Amino acid sequence: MSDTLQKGHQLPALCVPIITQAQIDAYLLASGDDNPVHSDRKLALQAGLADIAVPGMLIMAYMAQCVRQWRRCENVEKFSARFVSPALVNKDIATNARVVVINQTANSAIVRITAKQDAKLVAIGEARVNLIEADGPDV
Amino acid sequence: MIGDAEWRLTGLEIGSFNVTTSLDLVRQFTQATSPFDCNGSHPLPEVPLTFPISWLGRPDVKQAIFLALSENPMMHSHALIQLEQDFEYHARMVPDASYRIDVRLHGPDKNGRCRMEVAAYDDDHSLCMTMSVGFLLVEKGEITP
Repeated sequence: MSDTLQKGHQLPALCVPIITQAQIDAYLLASGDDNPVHSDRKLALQAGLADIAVPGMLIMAYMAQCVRQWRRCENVEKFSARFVSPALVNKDIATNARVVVINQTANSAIVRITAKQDAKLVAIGEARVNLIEADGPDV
Repeated sequence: MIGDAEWRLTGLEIGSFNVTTSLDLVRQFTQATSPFDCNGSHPLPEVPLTFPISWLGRPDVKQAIFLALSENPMMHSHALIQLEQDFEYHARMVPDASYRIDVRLHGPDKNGRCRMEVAAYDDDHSLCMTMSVGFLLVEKGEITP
């Protein structure tokens, strides 16, 4: 039941180990993103970055999976992200999410999601989620 | 679901484009955004929440956006950095379907902020999804890690 869900409930975290250039290249191909700061290290350095930047929308896709894989997620109505600081290639990204608002009447919740690299916030987002009735304790 | 009457788009019209959630594109995007092994063999995959962003990467859409932005003299010395992204799903996006998107551009304003607004309609002309992409124009070499 949705009333077993508590504000502050943590969703299972999603850690993406070492985002490689090959993963970024696959994303650039699939998304049509051709910004060279995601593929050309020299240009990335000229742009003021310390290395090649991971596309923000790839990080957002990981954040989306953190929510979509939650067993209480029926569907997502709204999803937003703010890109706070660049994430760099060849490093981990950890996404964490927790419930910040529960609407018992609508059986929905707002989930706040963060993505961090080296403990530094790189993106923060929110998703409005319609909930599946739980058949056991929330995990 | 809200309809056209409730959905107001303003700003500079970039254009209308026919796009799809073809199985090949959805599978490719799903695989590329999966942090773990994903063979993409499911016969009818779900459309990833962020999949609609790939419509803006199509050559015809990208060209139209570039043309609109290139009219601004700031574009010669500045780069576009994405600051934010919003999606609102008015109906479930389904795989192997066709949609029409309307794309509009707001800005850049005096602070270098601009925003792309996209509305996606299904074959029945019902609004399915809206998204907003927020950018900042920064002088090249000024990205702060």
